[in-house]
Amino acid sequence: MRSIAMLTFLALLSMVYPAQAQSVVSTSSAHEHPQANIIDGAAHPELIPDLTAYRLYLVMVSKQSNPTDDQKKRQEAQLRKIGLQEADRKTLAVQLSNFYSEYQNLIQTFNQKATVAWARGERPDIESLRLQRDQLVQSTRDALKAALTANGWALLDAHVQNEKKHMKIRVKEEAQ
Amino acid sequence: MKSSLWWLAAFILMVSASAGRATAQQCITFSDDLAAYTDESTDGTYIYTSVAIDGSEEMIINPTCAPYLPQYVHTPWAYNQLSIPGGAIVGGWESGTPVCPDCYLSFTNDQSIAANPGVNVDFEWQVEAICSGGGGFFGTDGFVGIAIAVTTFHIVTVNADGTGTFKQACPGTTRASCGAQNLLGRQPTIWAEEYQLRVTIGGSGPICSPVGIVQYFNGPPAPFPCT
Repeated sequence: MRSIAMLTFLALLSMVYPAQAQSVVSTSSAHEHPQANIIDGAAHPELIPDLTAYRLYLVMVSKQSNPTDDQKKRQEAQLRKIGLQEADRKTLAVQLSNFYSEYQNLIQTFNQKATVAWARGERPDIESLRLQRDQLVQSTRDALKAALTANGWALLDAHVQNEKKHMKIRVKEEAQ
Repeated sequence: MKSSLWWLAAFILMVSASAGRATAQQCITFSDDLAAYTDESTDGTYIYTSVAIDGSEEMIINPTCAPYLPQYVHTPWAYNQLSIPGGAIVGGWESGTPVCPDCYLSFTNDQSIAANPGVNVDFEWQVEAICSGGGGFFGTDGFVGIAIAVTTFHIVTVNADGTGTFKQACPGTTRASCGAQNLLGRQPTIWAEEYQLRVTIGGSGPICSPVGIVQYFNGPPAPFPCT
């Protein structure tokens, strides 16, 4: 009787421990639902915030101040879609170059701090980064509105609104 | 009696182990505002596509789990493949630099392919943000149909201000998929070719974007067929 009980106990033990070890590896159910809470701009462009749309557009079309030939050709093709006059297109290209360097600098600086913080078991100030990022996008948008002709700005804004169809964003919501 | 004690011990162990598992399942909590954006463009000869993933993320670890967690890193991945049915295929997966789990992710995969007007190019894309410890925590994908559209116009009126009014004049049985019926162009020329980028996302109708206009007098191989 005792041996039966012992065997049962061992069997239970062998079932329990692997389950616990496995649960540490697959720690988050978020890993199993990577497509959860995503807004598809093709179906619901009205749910993509303007600031997010501008950020993604600026990240996509901005290039460094000394782009390669391939980068130049790509950017020219991207900007041609807006239908801007030549002068407005040149103005836009300059603003994009400024945005590129500021955005890259913001991210690199934050990531360096975040890496150090992570190694120490500390948290970086992500909310502050999000605020700075959004301020940079907003100020770039304001600068473009001021620098482009009225028609050029109207064309650019309409283009970015249309580009929402090409965007998919996560609704910022804590997922476990 | 002893047997009952064994069963009791086993039951207690199971209950405590289950409680431990519940705690472990809450070891990591994610929060992010990641986004995906795709772009298609053309210079009339090449089609350019880009797939970007961009956003902030947080990986919050329950302190009681810390001893179990290795040094995780997060990597942005973007898939950008262009293919011409029965023809060339370019692109694939590319990844950005692995960064810390609280770091900002921003990565773009650029590709291009040569395509004649009217030829359909399939653009398949996907993005993933992957944690080295547990797999993908953000991902989405899509398919876009792309083509360079050409519309041929012939001049009908020379205007007083020096411009010319052109009317759509597709040669033979060809049909324009993007162009308007009329075009206001410069003088003096006879023909005008309007290049546009035609993009189809999902089941929606095509979106046409301007690329450029070429105006010219007669001469082979003009006038070009409409596409």
